[in-house]
Amino acid sequence: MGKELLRVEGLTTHFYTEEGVVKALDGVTFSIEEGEIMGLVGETGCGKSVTATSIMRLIPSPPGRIVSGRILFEGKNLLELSESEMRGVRGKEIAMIFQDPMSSLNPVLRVGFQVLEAIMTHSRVTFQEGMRRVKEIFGRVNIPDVDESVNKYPHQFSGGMRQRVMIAMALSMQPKLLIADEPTTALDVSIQAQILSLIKRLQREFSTSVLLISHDLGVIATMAQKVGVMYAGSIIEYGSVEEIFNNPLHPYTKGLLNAIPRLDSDREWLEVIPGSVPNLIYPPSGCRFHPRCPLAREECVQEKPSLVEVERGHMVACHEYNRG
Amino acid sequence: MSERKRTHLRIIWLRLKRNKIAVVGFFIVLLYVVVAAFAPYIAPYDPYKQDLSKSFAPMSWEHPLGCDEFGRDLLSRIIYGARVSITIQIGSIVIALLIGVFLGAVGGYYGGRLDEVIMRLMDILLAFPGMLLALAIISMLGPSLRNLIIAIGIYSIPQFARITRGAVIAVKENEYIKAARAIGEKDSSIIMLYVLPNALSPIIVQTTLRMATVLLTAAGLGFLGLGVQPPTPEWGAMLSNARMYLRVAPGVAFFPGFAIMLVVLGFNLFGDGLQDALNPRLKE
Amino acid sequence: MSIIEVNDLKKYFPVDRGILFSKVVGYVRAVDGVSFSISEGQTLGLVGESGSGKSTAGLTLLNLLSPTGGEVYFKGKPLRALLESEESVFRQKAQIVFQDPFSSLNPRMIVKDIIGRPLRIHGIAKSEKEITERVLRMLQEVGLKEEHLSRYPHEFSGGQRQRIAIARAFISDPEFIVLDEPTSALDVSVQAQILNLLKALQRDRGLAYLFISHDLSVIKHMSHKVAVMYLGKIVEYADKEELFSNPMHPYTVALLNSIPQPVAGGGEIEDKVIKGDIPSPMNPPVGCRFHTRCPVAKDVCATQEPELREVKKGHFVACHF
Repeated sequence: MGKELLRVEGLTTHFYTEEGVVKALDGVTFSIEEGEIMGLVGETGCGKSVTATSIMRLIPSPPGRIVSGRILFEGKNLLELSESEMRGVRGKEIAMIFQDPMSSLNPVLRVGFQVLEAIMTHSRVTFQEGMRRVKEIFGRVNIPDVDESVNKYPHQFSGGMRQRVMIAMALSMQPKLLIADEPTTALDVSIQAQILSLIKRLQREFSTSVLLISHDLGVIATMAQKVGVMYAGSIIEYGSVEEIFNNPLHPYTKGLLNAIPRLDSDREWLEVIPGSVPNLIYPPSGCRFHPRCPLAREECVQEKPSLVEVERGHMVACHEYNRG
Repeated sequence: MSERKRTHLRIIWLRLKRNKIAVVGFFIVLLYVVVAAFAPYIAPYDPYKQDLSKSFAPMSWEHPLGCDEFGRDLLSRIIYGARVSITIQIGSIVIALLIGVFLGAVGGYYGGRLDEVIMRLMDILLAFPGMLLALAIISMLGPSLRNLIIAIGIYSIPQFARITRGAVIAVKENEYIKAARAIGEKDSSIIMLYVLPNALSPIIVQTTLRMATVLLTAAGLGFLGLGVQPPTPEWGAMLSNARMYLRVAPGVAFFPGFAIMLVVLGFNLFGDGLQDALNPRLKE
Repeated sequence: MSIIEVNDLKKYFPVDRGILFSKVVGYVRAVDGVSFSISEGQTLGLVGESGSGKSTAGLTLLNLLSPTGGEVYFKGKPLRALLESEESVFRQKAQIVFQDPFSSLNPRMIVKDIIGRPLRIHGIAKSEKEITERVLRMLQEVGLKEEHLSRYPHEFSGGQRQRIAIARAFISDPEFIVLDEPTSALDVSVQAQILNLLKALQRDRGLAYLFISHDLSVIKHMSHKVAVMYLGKIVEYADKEELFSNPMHPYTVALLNSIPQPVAGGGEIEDKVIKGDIPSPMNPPVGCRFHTRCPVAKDVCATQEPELREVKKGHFVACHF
């Protein structure tokens, strides 16, 4: 049991659009300890990326707004900080890497310079010292030919290399928390394995906590120690990776695990979760999963179940388990 | 019409509504169209009826805008003038659309030699400065309503060809075009059913904006006496005639000129607004 | 009987430089000599990462891209001849479903027309009434409803759009379908629905599929035979069970090991990693294309390109070992 680094409580984020109010997050609650890798998994529209951008307070506003909740980082509520205070946190204490490195790297600046810029924004160092650090971190993320590479432009790198540059930039200030939003989704399988292994190694070396977001259950299972399963704006199951994958409780989690084709099993038909992800402008009442749930009952339509601890550390939001 | 399509149009309309200036433009255009359509019912007098005793009559209750040099009611002439203008606009734009869109679509879709040839042809037409082309054609054919429409129509072709070609080239790269070929569609079907319907937005915007240019060109030619012949009321011609009488009765020049300005402004504002409204493409 | 037979298929894309007078400077050998055959009712899974040429192979096979070399046979007849005399028949019998459901449907056509077009083009149905009937039946077969007929693609989710694309491909009663990563852009739960649908359709109609994907788990689930591609060439080709229980090419082995499995603590990733980046298809390595990243590469691998040899019955590998 380590010390708690991040605690998110009841995070609710809405987007006010032409077509209506998108209730993207509906009371998200979880915590991450120091040195822990937490995985947030879910399908499109479940709110995992919105959760990450909410924590970083990077929600475009308009049309988005964090309506309620608390984000406690080392005890401070990030939602109460001023924008300039938040800027001191972003990049330095909490860093983020995204799915598509090409869109977060400036195409007209050399990569070494971009990482240097990140360093110099947050610390007072000389140019030489800064460049030394850049080269050092490039080496640690296994970018070959460091001296040449720092002078190259993003488009001169392959996807996997660009992602390494992003990781270098993110880790250059040795943040306490790294948020990785689908970092390998756009990469080929063989490159994905390299990047994931890199993240794991660096996480150990720097003792950084990681919030890993992915729709890929395999990635989450291999990387995370703790897992939160999201559906339509809330976490519906939460626990250690062993618990979630060996003993899934929520009908959605079970459905999801049964719907993926596996290398280790041979089935003719895949198990299907009927229906589709709900429209978050008019979400279903009560438990948002009830229209697709084989166990749905009257109370599921009426009341939204809250996350309740069923076994040690294993929490589920489902009326089936909410007895007592 | 499915209710979803109505929502699609509704969202464009909502976006348009937010742009207040564009709404103003829209209403000006609407007014213009209504006036032109219902001219015989709106105009208080016969625009051709002369009454020399009322020559240059000042603005009054009977003649809200006064009378011109022949005693004809100015308001009625302006109202009927709208009809003339709109006829010219519709006529020439139809010509330009039919020929221009066809050439642009074919050139853009097939590319290569064909495209080169078409584009050079368009360049030749565009090489003529401003109205000179229309002028040249009119001088060859002789001034009349029909020839005015032809001249302005031809003069407008290159713009439509260019816009269409650009849109077609962009749309051509989409996967649904590949899919169309995969199910065995002929090229002509692909252009008509898949490419053009998706290239419409820029063409629509161009049409609206072009209406303004056409009006101005027609007025300009009318001003030079090369357009519609008197006594047909046409704003440009009216403006030209009024030059001589500016000292005596400025209204006779002012009102036709104002009408031209207002309608051109209306089309421009509306066209701009339309471009913005059609542009942040919905969910596509 | 083999529905599709491909022999040494090649597709090269010229690369030109120069602003004024573009000169062809080299070729991207996207598909560089690929051969396989697919029988009725069978699925061949074509698997590979980016740059492998798998999608290009699918498109070239159907002549949506013109092949640079090689032969394709459809039910025994050479495709080239078929295209000249009976292109319409070929287009009716051989179809494709694309990867991106958001761009493969005409945004300005309603669903009824999108699905109905093949019927009109090939003159399959005679009257409006018959067309509507058939479209409706197809729509229901893919799991959509009558009320969807008059709607536009943008009103649907990714999974539903893919169903529309499938309906469009299947309505002309084809015998062979190329499925180009049909579920890669979809969520897991939707993917399961679509894969089940595709399997059901294959079983009911006895269709041959070429299933292209980068996802080995999906390939295993859908295919009867599997071909692994790397930089334009097939490096391993075998029956599904054989390939997954006994992979021989080092690339196949490494690929299988680097897929993260949804099993808690699926093992340390460190040792399963393939070194290096995927080389560019413009400049493939000399000799065996995989040698730059191969854990068992020897000298001969850098000079000589290995042939695809039958190492066991029905199991082909292109490797010196």
